[in-house]
Amino acid sequence: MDLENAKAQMRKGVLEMCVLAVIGEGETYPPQIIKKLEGTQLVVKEGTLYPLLIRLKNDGLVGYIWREGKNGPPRKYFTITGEGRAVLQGLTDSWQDLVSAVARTLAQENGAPYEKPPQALNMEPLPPSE
Amino acid sequence: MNKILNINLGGFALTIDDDAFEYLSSYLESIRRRFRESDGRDEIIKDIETRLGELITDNMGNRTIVMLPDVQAAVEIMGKPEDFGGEPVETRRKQSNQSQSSSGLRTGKRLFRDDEDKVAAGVCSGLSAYFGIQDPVWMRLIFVLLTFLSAGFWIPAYLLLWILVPPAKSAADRLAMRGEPVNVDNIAREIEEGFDRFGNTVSTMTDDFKKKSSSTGGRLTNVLGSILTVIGQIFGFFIRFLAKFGMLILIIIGIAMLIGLASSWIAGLWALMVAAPLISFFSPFSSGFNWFTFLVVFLFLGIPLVGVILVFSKVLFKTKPPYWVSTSLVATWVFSVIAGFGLLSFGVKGFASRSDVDKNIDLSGLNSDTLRVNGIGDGDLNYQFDGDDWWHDETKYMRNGKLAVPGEIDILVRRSNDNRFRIVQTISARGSSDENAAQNAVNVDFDATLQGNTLNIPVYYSLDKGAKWRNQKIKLVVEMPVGKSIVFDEHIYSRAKADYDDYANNNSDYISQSPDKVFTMTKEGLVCTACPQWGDRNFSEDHTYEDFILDGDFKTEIRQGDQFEYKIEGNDSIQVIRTGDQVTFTTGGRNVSPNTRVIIHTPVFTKLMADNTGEVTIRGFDEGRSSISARGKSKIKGFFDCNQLEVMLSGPCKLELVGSGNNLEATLSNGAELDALNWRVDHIEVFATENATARVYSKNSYKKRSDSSSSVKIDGPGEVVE
Repeated sequence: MDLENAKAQMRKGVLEMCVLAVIGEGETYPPQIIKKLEGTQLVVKEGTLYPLLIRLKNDGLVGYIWREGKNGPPRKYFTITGEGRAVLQGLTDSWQDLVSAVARTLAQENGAPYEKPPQALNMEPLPPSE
Repeated sequence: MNKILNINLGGFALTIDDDAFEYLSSYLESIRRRFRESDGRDEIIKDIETRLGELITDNMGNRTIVMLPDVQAAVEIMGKPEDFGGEPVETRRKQSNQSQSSSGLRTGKRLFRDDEDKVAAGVCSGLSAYFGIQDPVWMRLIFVLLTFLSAGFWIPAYLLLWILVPPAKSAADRLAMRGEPVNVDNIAREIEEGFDRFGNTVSTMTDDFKKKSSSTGGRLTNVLGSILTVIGQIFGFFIRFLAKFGMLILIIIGIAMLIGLASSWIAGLWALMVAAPLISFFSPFSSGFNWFTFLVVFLFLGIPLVGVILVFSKVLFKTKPPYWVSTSLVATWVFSVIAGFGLLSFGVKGFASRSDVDKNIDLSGLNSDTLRVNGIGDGDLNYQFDGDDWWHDETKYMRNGKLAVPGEIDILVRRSNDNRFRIVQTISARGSSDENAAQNAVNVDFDATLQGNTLNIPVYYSLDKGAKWRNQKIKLVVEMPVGKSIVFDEHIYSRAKADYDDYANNNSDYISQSPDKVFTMTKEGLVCTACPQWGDRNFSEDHTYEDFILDGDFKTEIRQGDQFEYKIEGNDSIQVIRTGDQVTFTTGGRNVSPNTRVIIHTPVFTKLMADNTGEVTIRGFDEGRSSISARGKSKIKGFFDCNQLEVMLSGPCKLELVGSGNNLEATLSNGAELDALNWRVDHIEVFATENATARVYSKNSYKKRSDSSSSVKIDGPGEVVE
């Protein structure tokens, strides 16, 4: 089992959810998303984002609007859709459950007493935006 | 100094340095490849390009020309394709891993049995899923057809597949079972892509060329690049074509070999099973061991066959039989080899010793010069294979409650050294020890008995039921003194023979070929005194024999008939020798009884030679030219017509002629007598010497010569001429 591969697999699982969450905070475009993710220690290359965003768009979880670019062609600004919010909620709930379960399992393995699970990664249920 | 280009990168107009452009191009190309399979590929690429443009532009500041470091920085932020997380990369990598890890066929598939779609065991559906055929019916049809074609021999192959091919249990299994659809296109695609890449490399190379050489040269190399791409596509097409047939041919060859191997194996088994009942007789072991031997042979032959099938299925279908299967097969085979050797040496022991039991057969009751040897017993033992006798019927080989063994009896005829007529019988047998061998010899039931002048020899020997074959043989040596004769009847003659030295030189007849013929031992060796060359006492042939030689004191009648035939009457045999147009009837110097008579019918009669024969009568011919000669004590009467007749008589023989002709020429000597008074001819010539006598009749003319002791009387109006 390749460690790097395993790690990548784990991150791949959460990336979608995190990106969706960031977009859910407000209209944003890829470099901004990267910045926000970096801020929370989730480092990812920009190139990774694009296919993911396109997929989210094709699945109807996000949409985009064109806005003027600084000096060049217009940019795509991504927004979350209603369906996207629903999926995000579901993912977040599932994530909470997962975190608890994993913490319990690991704790039992290590023989440590059961502890309340640590705070999740900056994920709060977000208020619906305009 | 470098060239610059103006490009449109995702909507941004850039003036870019040549080196930077190279770098950017190949980066974009790698992006393109990276997302080739993805949904929304074009959109992704466009977004990335736009972002790249933005990144570069932002870093430019006041500069107008994009240089390599600018591009590199932008690429660094965007990330290289291999750095991209997300599903497309993972699955692509896994896919390519799969393709690369499989040999030759590059399909990433494994052969499973489809338990959910099965008639018998899902073998056919699994196979058809593997080949990408939607409907397993075709595979099933093929299987049934093969079963018919190979007369059922295909079934073990199916069973083998049933055992070896695992059923598809998990979802992953089911996926691997179907794999990518019909593989040939994948191969072709891979090749085409390879050539695509090659073509692209060439284009980049030609662009290099372009900037380093003159423009015309650059154009040429560009053309070269395009040509190469086209060639690549044609090549790809051909490979696709070949690969399709190659697969097919491989499969057909594989199947054919499988059928061949399976049939020969099963045929071998069949033969063994059929011979099994006889095996218990011939085998050195008791019946328990027999089955063991059978099993050993079965394993010895069958396991290599199974091994071949396994290898084949590994190569074709990439099935890997479980470890325990291969090791246990090898172990079993090695065991069968060892067991085989053990059985062999054990079996050979049963034949280690040999024992002979001698017995003299009493011939004192013989009161004739001729010993008749008859074979007795119902020799019709059918050890051969009947069409419907798959399992032998033991009663066929039993006579009187005992097992009958034919064919192991040999009779040798020899000249006796001490003038005694005797037969020595030797029964030999083998066994594991001397006592055992002797016991086996004693247990052979064989009784040759003399009854009057006939020796009765059984044509087979008998063994107790359940006795084993230990090479029991019987040999009878007949010692014949000179002057005695022996006759073998039709049942036993083939088992008799004599050494070559014991035959008289001029005898080409052999005992083993001449039933019912008398062989006499003479000083020179065995002679068949009455062995006709062809046929026997009656014979006819559509061939004209004109020349007759009669040798011996028997009566002969020669009549004119449409076809040549002869008949020999009487108890004794006359030897008949036919050569060309000549037939010889001879007693060979023997005495024959007075009632021996030869009756000959022949269309043509040209020459007769009578040598010390009894009475010869010639009737009914009308010849143009004939001759009669006689010697010794012959007596000839001729009632026929002949234009030119020549007569030579020597010795106390007599010829009487009744008939007519034109010419008669007679030479007589040594007391011969010619009575031709009733033979009316025109011209006669007579020569008589040494007490010869002639009485003739001439119509026209005659000539005569005689000495003082002979007499010639000429009747008729003929006049003498000199």
